[in-house]
Amino acid sequence: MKEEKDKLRDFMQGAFQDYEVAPDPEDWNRIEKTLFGRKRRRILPFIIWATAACLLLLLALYTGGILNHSENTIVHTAVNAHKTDKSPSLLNTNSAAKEAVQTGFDKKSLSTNHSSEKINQSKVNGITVATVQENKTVNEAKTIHHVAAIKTSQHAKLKSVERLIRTAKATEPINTLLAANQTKQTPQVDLKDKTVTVSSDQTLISRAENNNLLVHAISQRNTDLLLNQGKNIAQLKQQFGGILSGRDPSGVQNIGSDIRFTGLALSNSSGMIIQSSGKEMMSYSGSFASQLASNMFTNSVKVFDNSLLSSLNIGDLFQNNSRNYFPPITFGLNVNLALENNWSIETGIQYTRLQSSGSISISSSNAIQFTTSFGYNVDENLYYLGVPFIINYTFSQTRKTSFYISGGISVEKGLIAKYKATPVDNFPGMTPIYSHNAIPGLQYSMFGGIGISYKFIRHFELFGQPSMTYYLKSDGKNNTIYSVHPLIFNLRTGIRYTIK
Amino acid sequence: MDYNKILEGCLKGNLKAQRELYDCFASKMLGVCMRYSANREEAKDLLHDGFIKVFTKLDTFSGSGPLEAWMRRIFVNTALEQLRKNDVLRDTVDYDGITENLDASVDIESDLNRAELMEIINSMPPGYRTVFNLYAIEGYAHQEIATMLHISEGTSKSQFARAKVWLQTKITSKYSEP
Repeated sequence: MKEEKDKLRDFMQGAFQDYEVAPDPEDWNRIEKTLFGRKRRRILPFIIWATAACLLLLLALYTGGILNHSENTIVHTAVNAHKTDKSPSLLNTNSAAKEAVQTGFDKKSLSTNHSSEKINQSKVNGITVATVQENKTVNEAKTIHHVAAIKTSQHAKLKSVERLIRTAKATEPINTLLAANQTKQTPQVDLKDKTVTVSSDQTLISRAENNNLLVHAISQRNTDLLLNQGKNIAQLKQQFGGILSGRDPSGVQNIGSDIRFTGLALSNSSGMIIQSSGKEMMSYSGSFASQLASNMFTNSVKVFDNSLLSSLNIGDLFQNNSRNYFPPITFGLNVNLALENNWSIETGIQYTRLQSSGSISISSSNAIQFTTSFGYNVDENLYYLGVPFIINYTFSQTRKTSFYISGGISVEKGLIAKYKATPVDNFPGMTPIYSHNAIPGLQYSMFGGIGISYKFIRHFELFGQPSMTYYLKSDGKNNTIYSVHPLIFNLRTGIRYTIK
Repeated sequence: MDYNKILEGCLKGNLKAQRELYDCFASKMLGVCMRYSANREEAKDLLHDGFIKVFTKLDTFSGSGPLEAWMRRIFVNTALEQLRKNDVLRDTVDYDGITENLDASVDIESDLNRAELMEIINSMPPGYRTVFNLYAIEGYAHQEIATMLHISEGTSKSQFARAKVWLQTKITSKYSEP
């Protein structure tokens, strides 16, 4: 029986081994039609992914808005805390200055009154002018902290400002930022980013300018903003009198440049100033910068406000800053749509973490060898969610591995910036600061590089892509590796789902 | 023939490469489909489904064996899936009790040409035809067939026995015709 079956098998296999039946032409047409339909259908998941990515970005934008709001609350709390503080008068003045920043226009300086519970609680012996960037309203500005202020410490009248600015124009015509140097005053400490202090202390101004510390100005933007407040040029002339005399609106555009303030200035009750470039210090933004500066200020008063230090020792006070940026880590979940001739397009969601560590300290060393110092170590973590748009060209491929060149753009929204400041020397009264800010604005970048991908299961690949990335200037205020080194080498990694 | 270039193109979804692969194997695969079908129309449906499966699963082809053998398995599996889907194997009976009523005077191997044989195979009930194909032509053991068709080994044997009886009956009647 077995033999018989084997015989049958041999016969059948021999008979049908090369058995062929010619298909009809329409058989291929039918297959082709199905394949074409599948190609159309495969675009759908790509569109779904792209839409989902965009929705997530929008969600991130929305979340950013919420965080902005909470940031404002934190600052308010800080201001209120200072209000009840019975520490030296200078500190009170400082808190009042911050308060003035918060409240917007001073009733005395400009008639654009935006009522606020604090608007009449001016403890600043000067004039506060709140200005708003671009076309935002004062209220919007208060929310997003795009507030600048000009204040004098002693002369509370507009004429003081006029005089200061006129003097500055006369004495420093080359400088587009207008300074003043009439009377000796103690400059106010203002802890808020974007705050401009007008000082009449020539020494301080010089030192500040040399160190890019203080900017004393009414700038083009200020004027624009005043205009945006509904002021016409006639009103401006009325308010600023001789400043704008004889100028037409186009002339107004030329009276200054953008506001810049990137420094830290500290004063003790002896009128002594601790100052430095402060760039790194103030590169932290939002409420954390305020908290950090406030702590530094408070402690500087405690540490340095004693009879051993006098104005003669100004040069012996140092602020030391350092900050190291770590390379960004980006992980993406992407979907890749294969096109003809080795090309493919890709999008998805990418998550980026930026990290920096730094320190800020202030130390003194004077003629009688009195030395002391204090400071903080600052750890910063910024988190971004973004959507890349990528085009790839595969130039080599094996069954599992592909090599490709890639280029594209991405848009990222900062989710949150987290800070931890730890006292270096555990100076009495110094406590750690934990804070978080929103990261305003969108971060755009362009990149190109070579990638390798490894298919670990069907349709899914791990990819690693060394790239050169150029980060465009962001409207965010955080100093990051993006803003410090716009062109950097980074590694993009992640998981990719490929649709063929 | 080196199919690597064609395969590369197919993996990238290149329609031209897919057509080339089709041209290379369509006739052979339609031959396979014909053996599992009752008629040409059914076979053409299997050809369509099989090629779609080949193009979508080509990335799972390891390259360790011949491409044709891999494709043949795809087409056979496609045919079996179709049979299972249509539940045509349910009317099977166990081997026990079946008498192999083979007429020793009929010499299957020598008395038929391939076209006639194909005609008889096509005319078999689906269950007989499937097991006969898998056992006698593809060379699977009854145990393997049982696993593939989700039936018992005994059922596979009985189906094959019945297929042989069918075959002999058809041949006998064919040669007894005046």
